[in-house]
Amino acid sequence: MQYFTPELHLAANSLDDDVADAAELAWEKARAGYREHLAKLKPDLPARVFQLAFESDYHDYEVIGYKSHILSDPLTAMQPRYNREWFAYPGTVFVLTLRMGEATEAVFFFLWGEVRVSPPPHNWPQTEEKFFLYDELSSVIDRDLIPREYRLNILLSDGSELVIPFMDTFRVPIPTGAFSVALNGKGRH
Amino acid sequence: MKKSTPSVDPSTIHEAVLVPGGVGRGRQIDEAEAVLIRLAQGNVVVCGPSVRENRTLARRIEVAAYGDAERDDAHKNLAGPNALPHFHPRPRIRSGQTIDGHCFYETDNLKAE
Repeated sequence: MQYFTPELHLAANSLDDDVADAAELAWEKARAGYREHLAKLKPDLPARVFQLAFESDYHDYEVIGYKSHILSDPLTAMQPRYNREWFAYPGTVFVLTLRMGEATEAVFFFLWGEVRVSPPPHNWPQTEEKFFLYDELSSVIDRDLIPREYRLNILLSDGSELVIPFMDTFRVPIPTGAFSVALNGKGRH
Repeated sequence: MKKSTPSVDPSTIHEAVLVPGGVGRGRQIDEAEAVLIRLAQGNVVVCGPSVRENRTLARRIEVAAYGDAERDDAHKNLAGPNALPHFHPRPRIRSGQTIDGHCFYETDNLKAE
């Protein structure tokens, strides 16, 4: 994370008022800086990445799980629902499953590299919970490469950080019944 | 000669209404009612000119309701001008259920509608 860093989150949670006051100001600067950063990316973002950056907000969603899947036969797997341009880049898909109340979504990322998970800072309060705190989108390759390469950094509430190098993304709402089947082996009647 | 200390308006607590772009200020309530609203997983907002007082009071409400609290910032780039930092319970999941709602507070530059 470059803007909404774990250290800033910890400082904003400090019980030392001077530290927390300074963090309030630092957050405002970070938010302004990230908005400026996104504004520069905006004109060149493809529709689905634009949607991720500007129309999705997963803050406070519970992270149900995440996993990488190797597509053995992307053409068969994806056809005919999605754009053909993706099929030139068979490889790995990362699926992040999130839940807010009754709403569950799977967010798919077509990867150009390996997803990394950074451990929390040593002074992060220990917790088993994983909620989506903040994310940052960046573009890593020059504008001439198609499809372009992006990176999404996500800070989770357990202090870990996901780094997802992706080319394209889409999201799929998961019907509650389907999710129940996946979790419990039985549907809702 | 006695030094005069600048008077600062005290923080006030309100029911919070989630509106496009952030948080709206509803009916004024007292601290005890704010704790009850948070226990019912509703939203409250602490308003006033001092971010330090607002934050301290917001944290106190959340701690009174749930024992511990974690501060989150206003929701990233989608957040509008009235999006405010807020407290959640820590941990958020109790008896298998995620506790809903927020205890928002105003900062120097971010205000409820």
